[in-house]
Amino acid sequence: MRQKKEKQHYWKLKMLEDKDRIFKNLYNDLGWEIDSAIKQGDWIGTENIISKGKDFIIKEIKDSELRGRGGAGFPTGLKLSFAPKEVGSRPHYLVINADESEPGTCKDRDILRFEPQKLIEGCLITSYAVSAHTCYIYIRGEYFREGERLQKAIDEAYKKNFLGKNACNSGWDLDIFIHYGAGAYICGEETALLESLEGNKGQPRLKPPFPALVGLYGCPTIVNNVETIAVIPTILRKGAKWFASLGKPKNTGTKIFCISGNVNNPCNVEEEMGVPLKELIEKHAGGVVGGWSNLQAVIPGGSSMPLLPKNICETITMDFDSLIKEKSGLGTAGIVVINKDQDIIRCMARIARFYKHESCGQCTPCREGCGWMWRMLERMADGDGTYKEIDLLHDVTKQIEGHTICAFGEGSSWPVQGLLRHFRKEIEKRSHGEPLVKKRQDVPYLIDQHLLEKDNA
Amino acid sequence: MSKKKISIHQPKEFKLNKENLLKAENEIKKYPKDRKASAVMPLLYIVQQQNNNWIPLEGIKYVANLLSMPYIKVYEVVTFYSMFNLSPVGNFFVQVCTTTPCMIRGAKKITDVCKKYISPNQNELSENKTCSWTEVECLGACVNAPMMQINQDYFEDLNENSATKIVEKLLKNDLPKPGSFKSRKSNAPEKGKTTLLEIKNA
Amino acid sequence: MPKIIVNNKEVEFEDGMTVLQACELAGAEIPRFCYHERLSIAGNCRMCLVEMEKSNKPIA
Repeated sequence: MRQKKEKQHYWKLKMLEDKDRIFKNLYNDLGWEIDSAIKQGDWIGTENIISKGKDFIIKEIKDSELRGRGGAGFPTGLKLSFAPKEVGSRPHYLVINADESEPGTCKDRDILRFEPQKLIEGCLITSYAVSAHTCYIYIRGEYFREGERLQKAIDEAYKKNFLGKNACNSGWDLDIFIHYGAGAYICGEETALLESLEGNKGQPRLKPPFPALVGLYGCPTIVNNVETIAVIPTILRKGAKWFASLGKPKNTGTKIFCISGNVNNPCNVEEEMGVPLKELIEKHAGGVVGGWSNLQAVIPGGSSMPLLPKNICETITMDFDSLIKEKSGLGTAGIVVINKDQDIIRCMARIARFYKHESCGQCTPCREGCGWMWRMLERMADGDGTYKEIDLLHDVTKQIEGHTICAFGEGSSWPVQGLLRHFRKEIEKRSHGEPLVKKRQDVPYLIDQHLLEKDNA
Repeated sequence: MSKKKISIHQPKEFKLNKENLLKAENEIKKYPKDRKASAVMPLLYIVQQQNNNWIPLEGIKYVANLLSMPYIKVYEVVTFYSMFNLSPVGNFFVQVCTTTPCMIRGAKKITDVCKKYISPNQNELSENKTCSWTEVECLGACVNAPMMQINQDYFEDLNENSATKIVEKLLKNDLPKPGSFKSRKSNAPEKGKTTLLEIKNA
Repeated sequence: MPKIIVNNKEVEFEDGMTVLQACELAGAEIPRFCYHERLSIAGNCRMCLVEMEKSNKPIA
């Protein structure tokens, strides 16, 4: 029977049935309070799961081939096994990354608002697996109402003795604290998050040493995304084999996709990995505004991933490996649909401005490079670019990528590379061959935006 | 990196009142005893709340004294993050998201409404000093684009008309109800759900 | 004493030395802006990036 099921996967991905979905309360039909959550199946059998031991839990997660949902797609079981087995002189910490600032992504917001008990239960099980007694949840400052809701959920869990001393009668103590961020995208990077938690500027650290060995306050720390931790209780209840049967090999399970941009019904849906992009847009989001033929490009995984032009979107499936083959990536699965009514160069220039604003300023390639790319893209969007500048832009992206302290450099240079790879003709149409420096013309290409305001210079 | 101007008019001294001092002490208890510096961000939020949504320089010195940190470290944190305001913003601080997912759905119209009714420049108080507006980066509600955030609440699924109505209410010192302005249930597709069909509304 | 090959030249170095110091022993001078012997290592300026055989990204 199992072989037949596997065959079905390869030639026609079966439709994900509602019983296989993990986040049943995604649209808040059943209420977020702890009693409704218990009726839906949360907190049932947690004691049994914990009594099976740390090694069993980590092995199950490794068998399910769960990959991190925060953008990098690192195998979660492997990450959890990096924590030292014995607790030495320094206590272990678990940190949850709820700093969702990637343009196009809004899935963690729903988990925090409508399914908080899944996250809290996941924290308990994961903290037991990495031997941590304290858990910090770092929520972005703009999500203040969602943070209030999560705090209420945590208080409800404390009242029912699911947290605190002897949490859930398992013999393990756990305390969960919420820490609010203050509007910096870079704090979504794990080492910048740890720096921000410690009370410094959120500037990333050099890796190695990795946070699993030297993390928060110098102690072993495991950092994971909200969605990754929220699916762990369901995996352990229903079994790793069930999770591995969904999706494709090495890209298992389900994912919440956030479809936004020029579609008729933008929404969040939970679908299995490997679902075709066309099906997602047509079936769940009501199709592109103006019809499928009006599609120009799609950004598959939040703004850090290169865009895909229409011909690739016809057949691409949404999972980590297929998208890497097309020189893009799944990232956080924040799909942004851009149709032909929009100016693609202007969109990319806005993304470059976002990266320039959010750069922490620690290392030179990113700090200078992001501003440089933005200015060049703005000139090209206005029609002032030259042909030599296009090659210069590509050169700049090659110099930023791989030469920075953290992955922000790749995040800012990949979208520009994607634009140059697929839409070069569009840029060339608007450019001309004249030299950069025009005599006696006020072209502000060397002066930064803020210096134009004289009182700010 | 953020464009911030420190206000010229600063109060001469600043102290947290009793209620807020208790809140501050609860925040400090969340972190290990020798790591009080972690509480710098929550304390700055409490200071900002007490002082009508902006932080005076005396407030920064007060937090530095409370946590026995050098003044410059707290100043670094305040200027690094974009949500700490260093000059008065009025009772209602309107933040409009203009990043690409919102931009392609018409965020420019929302900023035009703000320019017309509140003030022609960003970070400038309106004539009756009740509100000010600014463009911010992605607010994390991309499926409800275009949207804006006023103080702590999200106002989503806007168009020119609904944005005008909201701003007019603000100028009269009245806050409208937050949420989606298109009769939509949070993040479900507008024309009805396509998944989880068996689960009826609560 | 462990050995390292720099620009096809083999060099012996002491435990705890940085890649920068080991390369200087081999005669290859690496430019840098944010390093000083008496300060802690910053790694900000990224001028000292070198290629290593086992990593696909250059290291500081």
